[in-house]
Amino acid sequence: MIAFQPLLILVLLALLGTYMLRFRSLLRNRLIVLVFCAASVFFVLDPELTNTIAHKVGISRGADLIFYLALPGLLFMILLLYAKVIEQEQKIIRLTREVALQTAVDARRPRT
Amino acid sequence: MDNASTYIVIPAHNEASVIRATVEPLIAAGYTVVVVDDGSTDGTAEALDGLPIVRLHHAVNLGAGAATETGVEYARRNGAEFVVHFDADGQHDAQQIPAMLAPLREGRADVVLGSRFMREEDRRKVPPARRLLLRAAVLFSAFSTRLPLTDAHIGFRAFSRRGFEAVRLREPGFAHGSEIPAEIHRLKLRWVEVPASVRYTDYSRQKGQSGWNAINILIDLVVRRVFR
Repeated sequence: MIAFQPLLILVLLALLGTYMLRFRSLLRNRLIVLVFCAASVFFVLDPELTNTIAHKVGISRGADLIFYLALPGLLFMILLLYAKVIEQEQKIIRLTREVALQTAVDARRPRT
Repeated sequence: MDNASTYIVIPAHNEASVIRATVEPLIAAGYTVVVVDDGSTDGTAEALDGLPIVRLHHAVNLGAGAATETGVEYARRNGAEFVVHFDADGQHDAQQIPAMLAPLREGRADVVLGSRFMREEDRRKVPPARRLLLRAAVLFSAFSTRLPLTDAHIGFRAFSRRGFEAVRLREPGFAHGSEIPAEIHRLKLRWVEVPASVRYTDYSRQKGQSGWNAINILIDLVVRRVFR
């Protein structure tokens, strides 16, 4: 085992722990994250495995395969986050609008 | 008080120096004036003190589209007959409102859009660079909404009850200028354009949108179409 492996596994476990403890997300999402983390640890422990898979799909190195998979994955996550931001923005608009309507000052008629 | 059922919706963000002059002729004409203070920090709300109008206040700045929609929602809840969108910076003329309402009163349309390009004398008032930009916006709008308009992104519009009940703006910023034609097309509303002149004062030119903002508007529209 090279020194890099326990380090990487430690980082992965720390991320997993933070996710599981800090965020109360759907069981489905938690399972997806768990499976990804387990796979990551597995690949860290046996780097040759990624090479074997990479060769099967015509990529020369395992690291390249991971890179190619990670890029669209990260882009997809950015898109999800952006959709979330827009959704959030619409909520803030609805909230601000409702407050504005509730506190409307109608000076057309004398107030009682 | 026939005009009281016509609600003039004015979104205002930091327009303290001009808002009163914009609002006064509208009050004089007997319209119900609804000013939506969109999180102004320059005392726009105070500038309206004592005027017989409806005041709405956004706690945070959301944008012209969101502020307009808030004012229209007030009109919906208070039984308005007609709604007119009107700019706060004084570029529109209160005297042209009856001409905007005429097609609605005659039942010929649900939405009336002002146009700076139907009469030569209105057209000439638009600065040349802005004219070119608007040409592009008109083309884009016609292409993306299939509505053959002569103008785009003019803040002067009038809606019948059917029109303002149907059109609900989601674009918070200035992209609502393109969202409205798109909604008219989607909802199959009847629309007409009416000639409108716009006063380009130094103030409105400085305060109004920079032409470069067109790029932002375009990005907003494309991005939001994808994420809707």
